[in-house]
Amino acid sequence: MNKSGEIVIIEDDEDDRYLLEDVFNSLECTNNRLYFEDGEAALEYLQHSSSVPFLILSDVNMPRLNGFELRHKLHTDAELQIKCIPYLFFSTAISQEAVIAAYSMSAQGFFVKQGVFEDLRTTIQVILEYWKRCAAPNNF
Amino acid sequence: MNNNGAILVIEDNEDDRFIMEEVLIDLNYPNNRVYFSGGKEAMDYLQNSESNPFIVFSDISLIKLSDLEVKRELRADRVFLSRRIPFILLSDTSNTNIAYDRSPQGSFIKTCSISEFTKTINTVIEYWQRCSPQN
Repeated sequence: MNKSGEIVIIEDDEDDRYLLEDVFNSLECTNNRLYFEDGEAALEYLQHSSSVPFLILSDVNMPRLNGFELRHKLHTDAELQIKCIPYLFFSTAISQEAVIAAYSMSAQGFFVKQGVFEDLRTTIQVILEYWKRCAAPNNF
Repeated sequence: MNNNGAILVIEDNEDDRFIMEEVLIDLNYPNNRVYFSGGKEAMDYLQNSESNPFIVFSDISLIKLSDLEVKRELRADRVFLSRRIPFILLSDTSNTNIAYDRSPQGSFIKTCSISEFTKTINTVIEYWQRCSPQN
């Protein structure tokens, strides 16, 4: 696990991207953030980058390649080190089917996208603390 | 996920069980705690009880005993994961064989410092309580 690696954020909503970046700044997060507007752009980056990201935070509903499809592709096609990056889902609308789909893929977390800064800040803070403390996640 | 469900602890070492219980008492979550000496007992509990546990903490050494035990414990993993119950591994050192770190939810170190271990357990519980769906 590359705990100093970048945090890949896949989010098609510009306002949500700004809010997340404000949260990371307020937490003085030392990991770089890399934002992608859709799953395909993120897939392209992850398959060709030489660095190993620390975390992937992914929206579920996105144009072209949605969050579930992207995670599935990473787990079937990507190098082992990419497969081992914790993949967390964020969504505004959480349907029961979406949650079941996420956990049937052994999700590492499925979070409600909170619109209130303080709530989102606490969630992101707990996420960072959890994966920094984690010794070795393995998806298989 | 059931935030109010029991916290299951799979741990065969009595001292470690004692420390875990002290930590959970200290953290003051209202969840019941149920302790097991192996994955098999925890699985039996899951299959035979009406309860819907919140989370499982399992000592990593319990999945290293023998091939038979490994198969049995891996089945325990899968049983819990298929019920969408987070399965967290705990180990004594960071030198654990990565091949055994079978939980997608990660493994965590039982540090010598009780205060650090308490922080770890607190972080893990907070994380999964924030996960959806809320019960």
